[in-house]
Amino acid sequence: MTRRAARPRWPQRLVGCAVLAAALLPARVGRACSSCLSGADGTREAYYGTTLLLIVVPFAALGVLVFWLRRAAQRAERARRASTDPGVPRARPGHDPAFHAG
Amino acid sequence: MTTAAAHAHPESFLRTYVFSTDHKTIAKQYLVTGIFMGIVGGLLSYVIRMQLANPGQSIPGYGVIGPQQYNALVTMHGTIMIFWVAMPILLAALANFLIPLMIGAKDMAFPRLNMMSFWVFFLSTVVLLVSFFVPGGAAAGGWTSYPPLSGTAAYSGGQWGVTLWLLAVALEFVAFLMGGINFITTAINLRAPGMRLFDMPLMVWMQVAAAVIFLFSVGPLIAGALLLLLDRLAGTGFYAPAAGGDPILFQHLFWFFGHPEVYVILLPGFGVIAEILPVFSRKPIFGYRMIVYATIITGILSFIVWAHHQFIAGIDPRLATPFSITTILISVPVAVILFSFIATLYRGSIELASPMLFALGTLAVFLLGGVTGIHLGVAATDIYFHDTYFVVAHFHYTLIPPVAFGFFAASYFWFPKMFGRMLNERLAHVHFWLTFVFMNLTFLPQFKLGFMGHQRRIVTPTFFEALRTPEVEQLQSMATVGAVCLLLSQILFFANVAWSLRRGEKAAPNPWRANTLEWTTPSPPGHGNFDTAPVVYRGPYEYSPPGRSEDWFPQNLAPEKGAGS
Amino acid sequence: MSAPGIAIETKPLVPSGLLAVAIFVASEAIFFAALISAFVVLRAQALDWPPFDQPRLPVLVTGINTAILLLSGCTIHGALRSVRASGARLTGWLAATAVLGALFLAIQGYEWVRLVGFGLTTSSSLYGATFYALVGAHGVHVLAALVVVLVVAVRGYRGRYGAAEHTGVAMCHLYWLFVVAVWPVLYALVYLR
Repeated sequence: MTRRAARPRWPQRLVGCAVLAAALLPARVGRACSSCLSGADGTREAYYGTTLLLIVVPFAALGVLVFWLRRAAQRAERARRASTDPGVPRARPGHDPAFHAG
Repeated sequence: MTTAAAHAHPESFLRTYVFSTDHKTIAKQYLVTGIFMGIVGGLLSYVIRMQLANPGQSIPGYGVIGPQQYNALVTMHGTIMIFWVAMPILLAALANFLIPLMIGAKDMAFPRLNMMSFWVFFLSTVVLLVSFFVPGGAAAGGWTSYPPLSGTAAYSGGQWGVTLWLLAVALEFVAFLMGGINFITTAINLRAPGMRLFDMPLMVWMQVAAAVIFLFSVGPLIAGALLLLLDRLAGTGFYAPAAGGDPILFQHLFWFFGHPEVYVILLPGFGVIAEILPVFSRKPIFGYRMIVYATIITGILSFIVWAHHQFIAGIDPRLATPFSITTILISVPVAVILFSFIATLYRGSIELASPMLFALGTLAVFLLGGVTGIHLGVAATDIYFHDTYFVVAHFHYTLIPPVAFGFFAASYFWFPKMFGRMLNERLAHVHFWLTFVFMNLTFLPQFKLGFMGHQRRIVTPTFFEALRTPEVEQLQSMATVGAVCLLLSQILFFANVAWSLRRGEKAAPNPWRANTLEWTTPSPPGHGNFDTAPVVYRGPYEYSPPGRSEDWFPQNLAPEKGAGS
Repeated sequence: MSAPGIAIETKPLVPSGLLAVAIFVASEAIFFAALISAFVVLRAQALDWPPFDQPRLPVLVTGINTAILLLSGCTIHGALRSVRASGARLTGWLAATAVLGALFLAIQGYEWVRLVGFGLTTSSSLYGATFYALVGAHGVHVLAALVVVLVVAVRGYRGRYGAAEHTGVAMCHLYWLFVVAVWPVLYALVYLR
């Protein structure tokens, strides 16, 4: 048996994934939670939803802040370019790749 | 908004030392308060360890300890060490002292807010200490303060303990809210001319990342604590199942903050190491940008791991799997940072001065803490390790490196800058080796105890038959001997500081031949920090650059004409 | 020779005060997200919501009150626009905002008193507890923002702000808008669901 023969091709993989997904989808009916304090669906969904909310809100807030600062920085840079201020010159002691490793 | 214009005038004692708006003084105030609380927390751990080694016997200097007292001691030890030692020292003191100096600013963006931040923090410290002496004693619901333990006076000692605990924690968070906003704003707006974001020392990056993580995760804890306070004071039943409430809800809100908090403490500790390693290896740090990106990714991931603290608390197992995955994922950026540090050492000319020793000790100890975290991050194994001494050993191995070792490394490194005198190097070496050995002697046995199924938070282990074996007793005694010796070793540090403050060798402005801007100021820096406003021309870690006679290249040294650029 | 000479001006990227308020608002948003999470979880677990023996919340009056608060969001925006232009009507806009905010608080307070009279208290049921916690937390924020608006109004009256320098107004504007923006979410959750 060669190694080539053992490797599935793309269409076969897709079919495999589809079969797997089809097999897993009905697993919904098997939902039971032995360690959940409340078996009610509503509670479970509330925890899912709030977990998602608590993940999304901080990232959204941080994203807005970073976006705002980035835009301000770009605006400042454009203003500097338009003016006569050349900025502080950058000094690099040669570009020795071993020196600036990583 | 800006500094009060009274720079040059001689100011009163009260304005200079007590209600000072100078970031260096505020840093020292935070430092002293943090160290004082560290001593309190250390003494509590002495009582806890003595009880565990000799259950029921009278403890020298304390007496016999009851279950209620033991719970209060454990609760307060955890609370103090996390919120009143790690936070003020690593975040507030180091950030206050270093951020303006490292970015070439005269002071913080909001000096008066900064002063207020300290005094609110001081008030919170007083409230916490007072709670030891109220009827019923201090809070005894664990440092996590889970309801229903903490929700009802009958479970957690008196009416006042937990209430004061909540009040103290809330005040403390207000203080760090002010502090954190100040740090971020300062780092963004007050950098010296020429200093781009990627010219900032890693310490500043890590402090800012820690402040961002703190500010963006603290809200849920404040909300959770508010509801708990209402449960206790207003008769609501948010966490009381009898009234339709849900105790798991508190864990949800608490750990949303509680886990990012680990990184709030860890990152400044890493920042200290990142500053020290290049200086004592005489090499640029390996992968500066990679470390910055890894820090950011760590920060982002730290927001989506919290439910791993609830694997056996009754959350949906389908929620547990994604959180297991994110928990293991977060070890990737942390490992990137760690291995970049190790790669920095590779082929460097390493000088084992005391800051370097502690920095290397941090890496060694943290590695063990990080590796054992994998066992706890996976839901399948966590079910067995949960609430055992394995957990205790794990989080001491992850938190002692940044908090204790990082603090000592920072002290030996920046003490000359802060107080203008050098610490005694020989005493520092003895201090390191004793601390390192006894730290491991204290906590390595606890891994084994955890494997043997020894639960945490039990006052008398011998009460349980399974724990009445000679091996358990032996391991507990080992840990206690280690802890007592660890505490005694710290006397060396305090003796060193006390002696050096008066008799120590006068420090030069740049005793370590380092690049970053704080070393261009006099030791100690005066009001306003810099004699002339610095201009930054290069990154912070250009050690042993080719074609230069000195093996360091300060950030503010102007390039010679025609060279570089 | 090592004369740098060409140092660029260190102008802050965004005004420090505004940045600080923006960060603060972000952490406040997460605080409210957590309160909302608590409400959603507790609501989902309840058997009957609202409990049969508890009074119903005043949907209509609070709806009108919501409109009042939203209007105050417009007036604070007017204040910022006027100070950016010239600053002539700044105090008027801020005073209008303060009056609307105070009106909102007064109506809320009146409704609270009535609800307590009908038997809805923090300890009467989880329904009452969540109501007072969420709406109360928002009320405290409105009160704080109201104090800020009044302080800025007094400073504006004394001529502290102009087209060039008006960070104080911008800070107040951002915070007030946040307090206004949170309310419709809470209203929809607590009153309408």
